[in-house]
Amino acid sequence: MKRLRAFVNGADIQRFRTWFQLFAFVLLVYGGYLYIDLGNSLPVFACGFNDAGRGGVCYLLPLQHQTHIPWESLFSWRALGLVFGFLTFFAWLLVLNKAWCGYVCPLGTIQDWMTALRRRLRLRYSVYSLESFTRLKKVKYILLVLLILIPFAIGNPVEGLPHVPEDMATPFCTICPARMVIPAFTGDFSQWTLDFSTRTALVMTSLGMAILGIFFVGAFVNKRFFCFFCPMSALQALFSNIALLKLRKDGGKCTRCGDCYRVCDMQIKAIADDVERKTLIEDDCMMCLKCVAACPEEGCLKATFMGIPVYEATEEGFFRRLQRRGGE
Amino acid sequence: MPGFRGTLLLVPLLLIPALAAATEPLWFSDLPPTAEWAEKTRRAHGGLVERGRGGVTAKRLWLRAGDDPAHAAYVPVPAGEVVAEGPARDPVPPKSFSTEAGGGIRFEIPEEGFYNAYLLSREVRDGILETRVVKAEVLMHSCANGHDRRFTESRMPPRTTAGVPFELIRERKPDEDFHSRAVSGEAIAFRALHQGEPVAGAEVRLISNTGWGKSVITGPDGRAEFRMVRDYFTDWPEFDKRRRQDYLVLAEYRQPLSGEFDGRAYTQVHYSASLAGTYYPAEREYQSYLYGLGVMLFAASLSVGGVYHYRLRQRRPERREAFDEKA
Repeated sequence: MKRLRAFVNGADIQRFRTWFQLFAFVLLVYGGYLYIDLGNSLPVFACGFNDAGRGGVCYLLPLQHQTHIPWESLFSWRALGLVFGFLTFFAWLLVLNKAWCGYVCPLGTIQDWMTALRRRLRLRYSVYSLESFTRLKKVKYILLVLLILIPFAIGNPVEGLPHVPEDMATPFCTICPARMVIPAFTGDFSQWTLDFSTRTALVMTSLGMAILGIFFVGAFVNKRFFCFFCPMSALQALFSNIALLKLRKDGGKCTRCGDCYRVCDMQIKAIADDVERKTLIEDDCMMCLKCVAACPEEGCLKATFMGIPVYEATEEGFFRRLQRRGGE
Repeated sequence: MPGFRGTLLLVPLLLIPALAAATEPLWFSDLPPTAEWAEKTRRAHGGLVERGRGGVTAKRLWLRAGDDPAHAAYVPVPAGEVVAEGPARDPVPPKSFSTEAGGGIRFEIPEEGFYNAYLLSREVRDGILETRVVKAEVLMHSCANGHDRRFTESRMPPRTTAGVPFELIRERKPDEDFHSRAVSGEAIAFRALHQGEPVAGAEVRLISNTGWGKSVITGPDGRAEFRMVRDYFTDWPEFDKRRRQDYLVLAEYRQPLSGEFDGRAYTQVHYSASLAGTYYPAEREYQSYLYGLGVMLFAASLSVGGVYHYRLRQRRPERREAFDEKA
């Protein structure tokens, strides 16, 4: 058991993650061709618009459909769909917590591939200033609130107020880059269009295509660019404290060397600065566990599942990883 | 005797729908005849549905007479046999109904898949056995039931129903699923089947929402293919991409066969079948790839320019200060 633990703790988590991401990508983007269906409440961007290949559907799509109901229906059998949808989402989240983002999300994987390409091209990456970072963090919560409120407002028009157009029934999906990017991997470019049928549709699809352009550039120069704005990440963050997989820190062992912050793709400063909290899952964290791998202090950072350590920072593991990369 | 004369005038007027139903093509439509009936419906993937007993989805099909899908009259159900079959070939008991606005049949559709509903009638007229089959293919799908591809594929193939002498089936597209719908500009194919077998020489006619029609004589495979015309033209601000349009497919087939029905002799059997469907404006009528790519490239170019400019600004020139050591 001790040897197994030493083997795991000394493992190259990045390599494992790369292969796991590839497996998850194939499963969720092409799984449909093999009749794989993981349901429509997944806590990742497994895009529902990828008709032919999807092996499951992102929870935000049914959530927008399910909140597009009259107020009275919230207290009828129709609300059961909403309840079961959420419970299924919660059950998935309970297991992997925010590691869904770091290990499973196809859009996240695509961004990691773009980062790898940039690195190969030896181009410099960008980071946000602390001020911008703090400001941008809020965007995902605003998007989350809007994607629930807008469909609900369509189903519940208020007299005297302008009606929200039906073309905004799935507002987030219309502007989400995954709608265009993920089906493209199965050769489906049907979402790369502007819809001229109504003014609302035109504005929303234009916004979607503009965001796609920004996504391509942003994800190329900034690690996990879109994840800072992801409403799925916000929804996960609301429940991440009660999930079974956790990232723990023993502040007493932390020397504040800052290695963990430097390797963090999401620029989470608290991972290095905070020595008080035991559980450290920030809303932007994707639980890639790069911080654990970069930590040289024995048992300072660890990932636990139901309290049992599954991946832990060890001095031996740190130096083994360093040697593998040809470090001193 | 003004009252009596008035009654005499009223009788033919009341008979008009019934007479029309006897000679004109009959077909099923889920479009309600009045706003009052429309209020009882809700939109679903298979068209308009109602809420049945215990929350079960139900389908109400109105009988219409005439070959103009947009203006055909709503008529009462004539004498005949009403049959319906569920997606798993299970018999579904349809109930006939009659209202002031028209008549038809109603049945519950609890299972996912296609239901077939028929009104079958036979009568001997001028020595010909008129065999009429009014058919409706009804889809039941709710996204809440999931999208298991294997299940969907198993429920996609068109079915015939035992005991139906002559009917039309709509061919499925290779990638069709419960969300697919016919659009203008697209080919749509039907097969005319006699006792479940393809029939050659049947005349199949498709009539679009605006009255455009085309006839095809079936070959040995009983197949008739049509390309749905684009017949929805409106001022751009009024354009509705969700505009539902009905098409009607009628098939006729004659067979020289002698016999007797209800004590009346005949020397020929004339089969007629109807099947109605809906189609919508095609996406290419209101969507543009070119503009989409244009917007994306414009946004990407702006972003590249923004990043480049930002990085340029960050690159501060080296500051050198010269000290005059002698001073």
